[in-house]
Amino acid sequence: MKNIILFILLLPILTFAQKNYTLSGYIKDKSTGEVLIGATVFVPSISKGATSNVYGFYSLTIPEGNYEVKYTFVGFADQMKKIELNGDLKMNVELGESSEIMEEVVVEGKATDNTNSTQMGQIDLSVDKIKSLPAFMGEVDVLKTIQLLPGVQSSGEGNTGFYVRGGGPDQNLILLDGAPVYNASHLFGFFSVFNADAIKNINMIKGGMPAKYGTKLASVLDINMKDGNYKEYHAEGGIGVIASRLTVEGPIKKDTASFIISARRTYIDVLIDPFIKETAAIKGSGYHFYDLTAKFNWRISDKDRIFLSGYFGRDVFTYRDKNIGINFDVPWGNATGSLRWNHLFNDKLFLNTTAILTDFDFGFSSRVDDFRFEISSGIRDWNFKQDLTYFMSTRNEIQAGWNFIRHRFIPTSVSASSGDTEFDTGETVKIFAYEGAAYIQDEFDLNENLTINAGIRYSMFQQVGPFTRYHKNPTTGKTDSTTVYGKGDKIVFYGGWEPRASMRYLLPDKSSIKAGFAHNYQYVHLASISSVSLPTDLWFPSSELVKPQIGTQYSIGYFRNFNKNTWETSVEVYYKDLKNLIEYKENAQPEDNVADNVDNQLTFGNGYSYGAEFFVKKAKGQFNGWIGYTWSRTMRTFDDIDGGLEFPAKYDRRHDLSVALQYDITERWNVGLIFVYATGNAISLPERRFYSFTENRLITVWSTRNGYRMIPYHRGDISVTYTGKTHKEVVDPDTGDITLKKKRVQSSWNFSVYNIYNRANPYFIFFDYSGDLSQNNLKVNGYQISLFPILPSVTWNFKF
Amino acid sequence: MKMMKYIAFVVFAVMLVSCQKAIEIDLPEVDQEYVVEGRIEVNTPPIVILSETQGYFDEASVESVFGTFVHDAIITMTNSDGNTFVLTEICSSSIPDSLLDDVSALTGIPAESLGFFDYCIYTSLDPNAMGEENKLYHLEVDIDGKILTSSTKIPGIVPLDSTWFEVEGDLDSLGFVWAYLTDPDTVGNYYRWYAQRINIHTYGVEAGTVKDPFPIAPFGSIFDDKFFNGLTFDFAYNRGEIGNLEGQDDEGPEEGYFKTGDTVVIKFCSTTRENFLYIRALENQAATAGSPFASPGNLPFNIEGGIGIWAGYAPAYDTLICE
Repeated sequence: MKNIILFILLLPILTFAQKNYTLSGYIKDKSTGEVLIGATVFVPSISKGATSNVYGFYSLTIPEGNYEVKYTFVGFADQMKKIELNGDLKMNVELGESSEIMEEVVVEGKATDNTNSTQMGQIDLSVDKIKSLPAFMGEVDVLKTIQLLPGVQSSGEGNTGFYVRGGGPDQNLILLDGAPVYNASHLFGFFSVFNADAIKNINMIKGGMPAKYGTKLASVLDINMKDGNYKEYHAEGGIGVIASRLTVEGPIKKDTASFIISARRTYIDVLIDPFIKETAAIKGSGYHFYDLTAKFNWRISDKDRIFLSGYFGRDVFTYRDKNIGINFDVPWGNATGSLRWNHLFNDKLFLNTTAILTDFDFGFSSRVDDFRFEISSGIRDWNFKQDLTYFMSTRNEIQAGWNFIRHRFIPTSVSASSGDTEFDTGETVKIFAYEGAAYIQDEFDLNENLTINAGIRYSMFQQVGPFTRYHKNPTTGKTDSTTVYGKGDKIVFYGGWEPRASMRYLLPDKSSIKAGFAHNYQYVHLASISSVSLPTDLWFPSSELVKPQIGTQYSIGYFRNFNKNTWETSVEVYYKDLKNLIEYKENAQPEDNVADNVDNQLTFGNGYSYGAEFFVKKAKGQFNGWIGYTWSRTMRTFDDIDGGLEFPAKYDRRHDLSVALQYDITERWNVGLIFVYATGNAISLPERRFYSFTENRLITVWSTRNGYRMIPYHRGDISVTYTGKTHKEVVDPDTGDITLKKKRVQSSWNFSVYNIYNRANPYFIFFDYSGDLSQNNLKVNGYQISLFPILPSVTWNFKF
Repeated sequence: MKMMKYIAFVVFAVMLVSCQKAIEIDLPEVDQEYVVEGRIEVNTPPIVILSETQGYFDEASVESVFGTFVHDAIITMTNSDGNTFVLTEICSSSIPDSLLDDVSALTGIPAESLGFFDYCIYTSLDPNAMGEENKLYHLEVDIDGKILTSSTKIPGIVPLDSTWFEVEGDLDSLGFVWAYLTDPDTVGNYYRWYAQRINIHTYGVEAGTVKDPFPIAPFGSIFDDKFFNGLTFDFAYNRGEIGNLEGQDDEGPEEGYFKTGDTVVIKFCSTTRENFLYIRALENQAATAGSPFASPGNLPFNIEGGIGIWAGYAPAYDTLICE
């Protein structure tokens, strides 16, 4: 295996060893100085090209000669440069906005068309385009838009996270400027933590993850924040029904250093408070969230840049009831910070060094009369990584790097007291672990038609002390003994090779076939104790009991574009095998984590998923958008659940259809439409009951795990965006010529209607008994709770 | 801005109210299972109630529930001394009315139920079959060749240090029963609290009858010593209600309270871990019915070949006059 990879890595070096020069530089937006990600550099005479990386850097090595080079990026005017290449040449290019005021509206900001790239199941989204689709409560949400793509499933209203190709919500690597974000949702998943105004670019990889990414099994969602305008100060914001946001950006030193700060807060609690009487029992109850995103960057020289970016967000839920003497507070939130240094050794060698701190914590504190109960959990990572990119020749790019993470977990920390008695809840358990990885990958053209991206990653994990292991007697369930590990003691080690490969074969009719293989390890897990995903779900590391999750995915697809890339179509099929998945044992209770190890409450199993994804997109024109359809199956097997019988995962979804369409009626009026249809979630239902003669209660007996289905989920949303005039006519007093001048303040109105035909989609189904058995009027009732009826909203967005 | 507030308020209200509707679910026919509810208590004969499940949406009348008893099973209990006892089926229709109250007190089954319907238990009248501390008990049920088995243990008795009655807040005669407990210094003690008012109702429709016909476990009656292993501490319980019977003081201001003048027998039991998990899950099922935050799951039954629980109890009794 290793020899084959070495051969593949060396092959391009052998084939392309000839005298060439390198054209390199940065591609930027002329008006803001922001670097452009995924802009294309193309030399038509020899049909060679490259794209800019996430730092806007490109490098193209071609034979000596005179060329016309074309720089392009969607929404920007093309630029042609004539060059004489007789030595390595540095060329920084600034692209201006397209000369037409009315840009061609495209749904994606993808530079190379989808038949050309080797990456399978990869989607780039530009935030501008997301903003013209209907948004829930008018709050633009990048995660919601991602869920409209085939292979990516929404976990449903009121649930955090999303599912990619049969993987769980914990198997997605969500990166904000390189920093992992553990809980990407506000308010039980109604809003994502990412403020769209501060985001430049989103890249989603759902299959065949390249070797530079690791730590998670299912997907990578790589979100890049804007750098901030290098030329002038700008502000942008929006006032919505439930939240407002403001973004300010500008140069610290023109063309050298810039910043962007973005903030958002909901104000339902503030608006409602005056309506609640001082004497009301629930006075003081409320909910709000806020988030703050900031980024500074500094171009020290042509070869060095420094970025400092941070995110801080909090959800706070409070409940007061004076009548029954209950108080509880539930705060949770993420914080991330990353410091990055880009260094260009020469025009072919690019180094990115990043130090990251990421933190997620959840708290719950309650007081009922004089009984006080507090519970908290959290995860904190210190993360250091270096990634080196070597643009060896045109279409041969080698990347290598390493990564080291120190994890600190607090699985569940409880303190409780009643009156003056402090209960013994044990010391706060902290779990420490190290995770490391090194990788090398190479993307190269084997010949005119075949491009290969091959790589390998070795990852490892070590849990270290201090730690107390509670050994359980398998029959009595009691703690038989404990093992106490001192600080720094090695507890358990895991490691493994993660080979990755993807290829693209270009067919004569300009369509292409792509195939991918990925083998991944995941050492950090999320266990959900309830049937819906909540911020209470617990993150914890691999341990003596919890082996790393292992995922292996095979995928193949056919991609074809029509009509000069106006229409893009693709079909992808995949099979995924998952090992060492975790679930809580039945009847586990959160308090059982106290004076115990969380993993003693877990049960382990395997799973698989397969499916086919169909995608049709009209990328250009007045009318554009896409339709994605996924057919899939996702199954699980756990020894301790239903005696090892195979059962469907909660999000096993046979059919999943998403339609997202936009139509530009005029320059100023735009209509967006979303329609989604999904097979209902798999659920367990009560099948039988018995009357407990000793407890005098009816007891429910449930079906096998997920043996039934909810009704299908479907919903339509519509939005209308009215954009105010962007330019005004200016009459030159001397010549009388009329010119168009950009207006200083630009604004738009977005009217959205969520769930336009008022479909009652099930959030959950529950059952209860009414009446009294002794009165002979007992009835068994089933109820369905739906969250959102038809919901109109309006948002005013501005920019100056 | 006022308009804005108004909109926000309406939208938030809509979000909170969300929509709930009754739904009909067509479940396929499923096979029913046998349910064992058995207990063996110190100084008390074993009691096993054998019944069958019903379809979840089947009609739930008293008649149908009482029709679920399984008769003519062969039930044997073997203790750790190797002695085997055959349990015999006794139905309320075959015992004299004068004994119904005694049977009610013994089984925890309301005397009315025993009187109106044919209520059947399996037990042994052999004095040697009575429960003893720190003994194991194996149960085997044979229903026409279908075998159900289970085992349990009666743990050691852990008595309360003291009990007292305390009026709650500014209420003049209503309050809770408090107790001091010294938990033994070994992890893994499980307790269940029962209380029975043995004085007589002096007014109301139930005047002249004993307030509680048998010891009643309030909600949250079972707990373990995880948080207070080896400690001495105090705790309080409210007054429980019989699941499906509403007493005259189970609604209104006296609900959940003991009252000055009550004579309360506290039955404080040590029990097994399996029973702790079962009762905790059972109460949890009742408390979270309809909540999305609980994962639907079956109770941790300890019956091989069927469902239900076979549990050992070691009670210590205290009698308290509420003053």
